[in-house]
Amino acid sequence: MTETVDQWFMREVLPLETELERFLARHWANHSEVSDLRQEVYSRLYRSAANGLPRNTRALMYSTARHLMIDMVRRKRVVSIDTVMDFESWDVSSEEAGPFETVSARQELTMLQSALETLPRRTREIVYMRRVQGLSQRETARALGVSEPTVERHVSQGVRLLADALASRGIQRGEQKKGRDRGGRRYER
Amino acid sequence: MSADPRPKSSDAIEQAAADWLASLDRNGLLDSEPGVDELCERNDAFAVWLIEKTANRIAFLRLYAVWQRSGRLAALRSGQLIEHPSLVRRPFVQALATAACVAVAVLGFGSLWVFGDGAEPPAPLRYHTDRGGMQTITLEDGSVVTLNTETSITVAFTAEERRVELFSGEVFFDVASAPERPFRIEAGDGKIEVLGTSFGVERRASIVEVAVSEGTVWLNSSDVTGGSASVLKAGMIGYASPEGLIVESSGLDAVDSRLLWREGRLRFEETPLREVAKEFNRYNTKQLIISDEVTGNIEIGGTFPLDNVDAFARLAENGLGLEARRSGDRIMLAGN
Repeated sequence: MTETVDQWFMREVLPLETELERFLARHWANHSEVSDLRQEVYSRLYRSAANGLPRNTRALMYSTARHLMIDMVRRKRVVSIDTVMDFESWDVSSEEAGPFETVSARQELTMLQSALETLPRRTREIVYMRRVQGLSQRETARALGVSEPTVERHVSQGVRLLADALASRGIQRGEQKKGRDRGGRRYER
Repeated sequence: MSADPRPKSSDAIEQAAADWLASLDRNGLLDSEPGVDELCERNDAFAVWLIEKTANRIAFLRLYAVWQRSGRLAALRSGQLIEHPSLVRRPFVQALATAACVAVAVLGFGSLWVFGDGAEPPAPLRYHTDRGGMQTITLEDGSVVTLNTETSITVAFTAEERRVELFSGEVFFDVASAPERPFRIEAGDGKIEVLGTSFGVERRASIVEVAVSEGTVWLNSSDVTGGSASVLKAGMIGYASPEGLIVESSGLDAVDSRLLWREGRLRFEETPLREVAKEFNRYNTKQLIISDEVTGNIEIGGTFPLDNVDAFARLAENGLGLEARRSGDRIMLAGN
């Protein structure tokens, strides 16, 4: 059963990460907290999906994010006036109505490639050997003359950096493409 | 809703998730891209960490999805193939227009495909899945292939034709239309040719099974008589073997059932338990053993998650009144 929720999460929720982060960044003054918020939105979505998969994941994601931010604002000692204003004039329907962002296989590859290029040299090299050339971690270690724990550490760092790079890449792409037609400006400070 | 709405710092959790991923990868456990539950079965410490809190699971799933996506970078190796971006939603209309489906099974055919036209073949790309694995790949022409458990294929495209060889296992093909560039599949004694359609192919013993859900597929078998050919339409299942070619009009429902593995499920209809066990055993390390012939002949129906043998065994106990004896990686089903 959990497998189904996992699959739903990977298939339906994670592809929305770029727009979720964009949404959170737009409505939350402290940008350093965005990844904490994102994680909490994910956890809440996952827990609620465990009781039954939602019909409209995107709508649920936005309402979950909104409720989380309201909870946070209520508990926070210092809240910027702007943030409160935003919540009051909040109309999420324009965000929810946005079209699914689709990328072609080629765009996807280009995106992955440019994300890979943002990694530090050694990490990039190791991720390249592991994922492009298909070497195992052991083979990678041998080829580079480093220890296996070193390779493992770079793999760990590499996948995190890739995830972040992919999310921010999506943000840039999305902003350029449809920043204008989504009514998002209304919420900008 | 959580009791504490203040999120914990996501950084430490993400680091732990990344460390787990790297560690599992070092031990080769990610190669077949198993589900998280399967990873838990293989590594107890990971299972303990994962179930400790939802945030752990989420963080792992997020990085694991990126890890799987990064596998598409392998396309850089040859420039020929791009793995399937699972984030891409194929437009529904297009899916309808090209949808057709063939499942082909071939078993026990040992020789390799030899290029018959004398041309220098391109270096084929090889893909395979381990037991319980499933992988979707988008080919350079936009066609999408989905590999079922324990499947091995090679892909070689030229300007004139698109060629796939199925060595073992089962594949669902959704072939992009390109009339000037036929799509050919070699699966032991069965040869399949399409111009633009979708189909699945399974190779089991000396039989190639082709189930068509939509579109038209040409199936050829190189049999004792020198070869026969047939045109399969939607709802038909064809079997090519060294003895010849058999085609039956099974109907779309039967074809859909046949292809339900793509959704991680198996559907049975008046199927003897012995065959049900065989089907489950294709996907799982934990094997179902049927103790005797009478038990093996019990017919069952229903739809089950293909990776949950334990659930099925419990059902057999409660629903069929069988006894399930568990030892290690074996579950023995016996009549009472």
